[in-house]
Amino acid sequence: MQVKFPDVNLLALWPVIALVVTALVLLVVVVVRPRLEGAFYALLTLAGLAVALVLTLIQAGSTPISTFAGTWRTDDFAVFFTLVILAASILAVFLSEDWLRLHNVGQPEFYTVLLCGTVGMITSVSATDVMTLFLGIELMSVPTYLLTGFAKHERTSNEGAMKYFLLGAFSSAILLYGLVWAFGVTGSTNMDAIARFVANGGGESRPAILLALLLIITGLGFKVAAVPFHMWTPDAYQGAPTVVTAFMSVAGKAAAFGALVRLLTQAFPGLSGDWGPVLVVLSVITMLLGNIVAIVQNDVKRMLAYSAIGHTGFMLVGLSTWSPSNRFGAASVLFYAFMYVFMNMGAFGILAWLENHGGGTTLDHLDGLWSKAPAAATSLAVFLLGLMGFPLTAGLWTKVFVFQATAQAGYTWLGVLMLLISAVAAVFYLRVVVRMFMFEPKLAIASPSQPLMVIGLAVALIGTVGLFVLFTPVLEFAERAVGIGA
Amino acid sequence: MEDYIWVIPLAPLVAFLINFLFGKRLSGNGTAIIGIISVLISLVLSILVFTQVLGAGGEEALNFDLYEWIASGDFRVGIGFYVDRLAAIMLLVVTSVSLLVHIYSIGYMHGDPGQYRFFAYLPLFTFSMLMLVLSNNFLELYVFWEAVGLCSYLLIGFWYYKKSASDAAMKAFIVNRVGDFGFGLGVILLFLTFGTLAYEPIFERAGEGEIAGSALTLITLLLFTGSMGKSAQWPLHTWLPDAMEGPTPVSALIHAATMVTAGVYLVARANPLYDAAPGTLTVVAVIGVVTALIGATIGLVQNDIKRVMAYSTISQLGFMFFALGIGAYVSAIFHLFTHAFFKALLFLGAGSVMHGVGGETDMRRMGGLRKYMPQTFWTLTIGSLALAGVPPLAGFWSKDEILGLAFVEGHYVIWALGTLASFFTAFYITRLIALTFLGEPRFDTHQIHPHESPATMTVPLWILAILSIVTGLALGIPPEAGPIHSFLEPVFAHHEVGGVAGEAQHAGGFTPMTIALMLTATAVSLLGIALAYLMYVRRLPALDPQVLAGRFAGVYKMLYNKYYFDEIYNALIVRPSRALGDGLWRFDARVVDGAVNGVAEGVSDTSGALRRAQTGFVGNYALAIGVGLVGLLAAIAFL
Amino acid sequence: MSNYWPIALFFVIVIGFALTSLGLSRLLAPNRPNRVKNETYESGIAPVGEAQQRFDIRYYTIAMLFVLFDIEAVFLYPWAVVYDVIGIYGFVEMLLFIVLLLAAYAYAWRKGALDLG
Repeated sequence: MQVKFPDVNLLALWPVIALVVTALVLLVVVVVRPRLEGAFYALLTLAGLAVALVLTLIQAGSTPISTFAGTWRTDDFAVFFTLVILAASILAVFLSEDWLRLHNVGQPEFYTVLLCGTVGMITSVSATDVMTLFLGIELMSVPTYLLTGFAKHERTSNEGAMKYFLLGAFSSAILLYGLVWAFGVTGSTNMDAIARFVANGGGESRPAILLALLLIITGLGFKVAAVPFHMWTPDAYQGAPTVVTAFMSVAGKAAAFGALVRLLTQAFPGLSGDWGPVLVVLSVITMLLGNIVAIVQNDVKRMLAYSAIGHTGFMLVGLSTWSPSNRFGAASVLFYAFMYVFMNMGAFGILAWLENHGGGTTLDHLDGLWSKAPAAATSLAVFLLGLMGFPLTAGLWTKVFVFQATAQAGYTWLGVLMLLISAVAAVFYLRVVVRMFMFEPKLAIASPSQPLMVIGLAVALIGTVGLFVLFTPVLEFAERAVGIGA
Repeated sequence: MEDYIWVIPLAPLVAFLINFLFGKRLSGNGTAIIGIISVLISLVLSILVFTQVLGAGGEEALNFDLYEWIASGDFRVGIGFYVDRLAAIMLLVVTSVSLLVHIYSIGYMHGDPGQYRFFAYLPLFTFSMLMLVLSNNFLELYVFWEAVGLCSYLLIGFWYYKKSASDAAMKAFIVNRVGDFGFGLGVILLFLTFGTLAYEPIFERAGEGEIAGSALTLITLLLFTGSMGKSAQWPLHTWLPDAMEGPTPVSALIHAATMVTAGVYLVARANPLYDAAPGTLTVVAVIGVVTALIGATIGLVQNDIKRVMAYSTISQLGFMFFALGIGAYVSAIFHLFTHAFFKALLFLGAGSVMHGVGGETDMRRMGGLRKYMPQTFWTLTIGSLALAGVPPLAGFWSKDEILGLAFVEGHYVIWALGTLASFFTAFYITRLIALTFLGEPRFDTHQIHPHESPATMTVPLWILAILSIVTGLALGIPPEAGPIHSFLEPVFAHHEVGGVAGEAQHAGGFTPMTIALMLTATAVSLLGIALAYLMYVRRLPALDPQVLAGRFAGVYKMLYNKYYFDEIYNALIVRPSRALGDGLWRFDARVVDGAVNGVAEGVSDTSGALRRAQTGFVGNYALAIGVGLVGLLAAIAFL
Repeated sequence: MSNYWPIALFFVIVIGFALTSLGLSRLLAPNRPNRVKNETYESGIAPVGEAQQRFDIRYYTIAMLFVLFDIEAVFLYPWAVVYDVIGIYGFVEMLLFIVLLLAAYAYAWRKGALDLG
């Protein structure tokens, strides 16, 4: 008997290996020394993430590697999303350490779970085989459920985690069902093979392949929080510890979008005429619902949850314009995901910072923040302006390039609708700014020491403003990643 | 020029960074000196640019990119500079007024705990304004358009702990959003229509007539919405009077001399587009003249010294816009130029008055200040006469040109309304001087001891006063053909359509017609001054203001309440949107949140009930996913 | 679509088989219910209390650990069978797998998951 082993090029996996090893070491350290002083566990995690980041940057320069019998590909696309995910993870660790300490939920396991989730996210965006992709999605989801319920003495945290878990399992099943249909029809789990099969529209299997496509869009639509698959989002985002919300609203969304873009553009490029309109519909209702319901929220955390739904809508707009001859729509999504890291993590980060000061996250708590903590108030204002798409922040470019994608694809009306909706969105972002800057402070705040958090927020702030000026490399990288000019 | 032009905006930017980062450690005067030095560098270089542009003949503009900012497919935008004669003259206005305001602020802001912030924001504004003027494409313009707005909000809300100040900042921000949204759409449409955002190709192709007129009309209308917001034109004018909550030097620099004229600059800059869209020019003219009248009439009855000036600014900007609307671009820029000096003078003078009487702004509690602060009185009087249009001061030459051209071009209605507005202008500014400086003191002389301001404040006043006298004489003679015309004509002369052709035919100079119009304008101004003099200084019983106000109570109340614009907007926009928000909130509270809150807050329930409730809701959520999937299936099956 | 006929046939047979066997027993078997017979069958233990009750949390940890090592065993058997073919490559692979499980096991142990007291 002769066994042929799949070719394994470990170079493609170095970042993931670094993360897994860190997670294991952390687990062992936790067992041996469960109560280490200072921020040891966080720093260890950061070290692992930094190593992974460096390794990814090394990969960025080299040629694409396809390995594990074509189920894994480290190409520009994967590297781009890996960078986004790692950036989000690193920021998350910075934001989390002080929060966990001050809220007495400081089990070091937090970081192990976070690292496992990161590995799952990287797997989702690097997979070129639908089974590997599903594995990645699950490896990302399960830790996220755990993190959502991490504040285990908080009833809302438990509630959010439970809902997220049940619905997440449900949607995973739908996704898997779609992938299985795709396999059943095309006879392969490899994305390139599926693409070859559907190149001519699928022939007589067309109804079945469309069913598979819709199931996949539904399953991943849940992960990116697209309406009407979004119902878990407000509860989970609000219930989860704020630092976790920051992490999953950015990294989880980026990974799910990575998987969605990869699947749709690499496995189903021939059907872009079918899934494009579906995404148009989803994007419109997602933008509308997310941004309109956000207007009436009094809890800023919940408002940002709805705003996150709205941003999913904006990103879907970009993706919906993709076609094999006009790939810029996908680039606009990648670009969006990158910029979103700094703005959204910054915004949630400030909320966490406030909680560290014994404050809450409702508008009342933000009243007059400017006079008590001008730096925090200014930062939050910058992050919110970024999310709004205001000039002088990186947020402007996210909207500009999604709009450009729509204009290039002949969907200008959709782009204009998007701009109109983002003008509406200004209402709720500005309301926070108004409350911070114009109202009398109602509640006093303490001021504990939180060095790592301040570093994380500073990085987010520098990113939000700095990338307004220096966004060109990111855009070029995103274009290269989706095969423009290659 | 290429090798040093970038220093002009860079110097204030550096000053901003130094003052913002290290300002707390420097003394108040230290930050001021850093700001002054930086703006002085800019001013010197601007003068250099001006002389070089003057010597270059004026046909070709310097246009280059410093840095390619966006390169994505066809979408290429750089950060670059576009220096022509229009930009050169704007550079002079911005840097000179900014320098004087910086110097003035040493005295005015003395002892304010936020001094270092103030001297950080002022250079930041100067930097943004210079970049706005120097932009060579619409995206760069838009970015710095927002940036000057941002500085404006920061400075309006400078005393953020005063609720009225922060409210005013917010109002300015929101009203400007309306205009800027239109502006943004206009820029996008420009890109869709021309495939580029750079000035030169757009202006060239707009002049060639290959672009549909309707598209150009829409684009120019949208761009003009931006101008209306920034330059406080009716109906977006309501933010500017409230903006007077900011420190007075800020009002002088941003809300009188420079930022609010950005709207005028935009129209002048984009003149090839506007010339190809005559319909828009008509709109510009109408909005301009309506604003000029509204501003001037409201100014008649206001009692707050700064608010009178704010409405005066609105009104004068209206003059500039209707000049643009009738194609008299050069005259509009001329008026912008002279107005910058005399209005800055008026505001700084008002600041000096407030400084002298302990922050009072209500003119009803002033009077008789002439003997306490003679320098302020004289400079302010010069500024007032310039504004009123009394020859030979600057305002006369520029305003007379605008009105004269309106008449010569056959826009008799606009001329008549403009003349009426200039009558009101002469009246309200004389009233201001009379109430503030003349007559008997109406304040408690035991408690308030008015005093003249320090030299750092009066010297800038005198410099501006001299500028208010000489700029008109130097640039405006002979009327409609003075040096300003030969200087700026190349900017506007490369096209032969619309009003400009008429202007070209009309040679200007001292013709019987222009002399007659000048005499008329002078007579109208003097009439306004005389009437105000009789009412407020001589106090003729037949013209007692209070009796008149009683007799024309309806008109008076309407003017006093600023035509109720704030109330109308409140009723039409603010309250309905709040009601909509409430409605949505109630919907959300019942339908969306009710369910969730029932769980989250119903913690007193037994765990059993909680568990049942939870599964129920998760079921609902799952149902939504299922329904969504079925909906998608149905959509793809039937579409 | 013709490829899928066997699957459809398979569904028909499965459902048919279930219905037939249930139907036959209903027809052939005597049916004399009483209270004891109607009670829920719970591994021979008399059912007491509500169906919706709490289980000790340790039950779940034990169950999870059991499933975990069950899976490990499932992998180990075929691995052992073909060990001579896959050689050192397979050895290293399985070693990695076991190391991963071992770390988790050590963690669970130290955390008291195996502490049944």
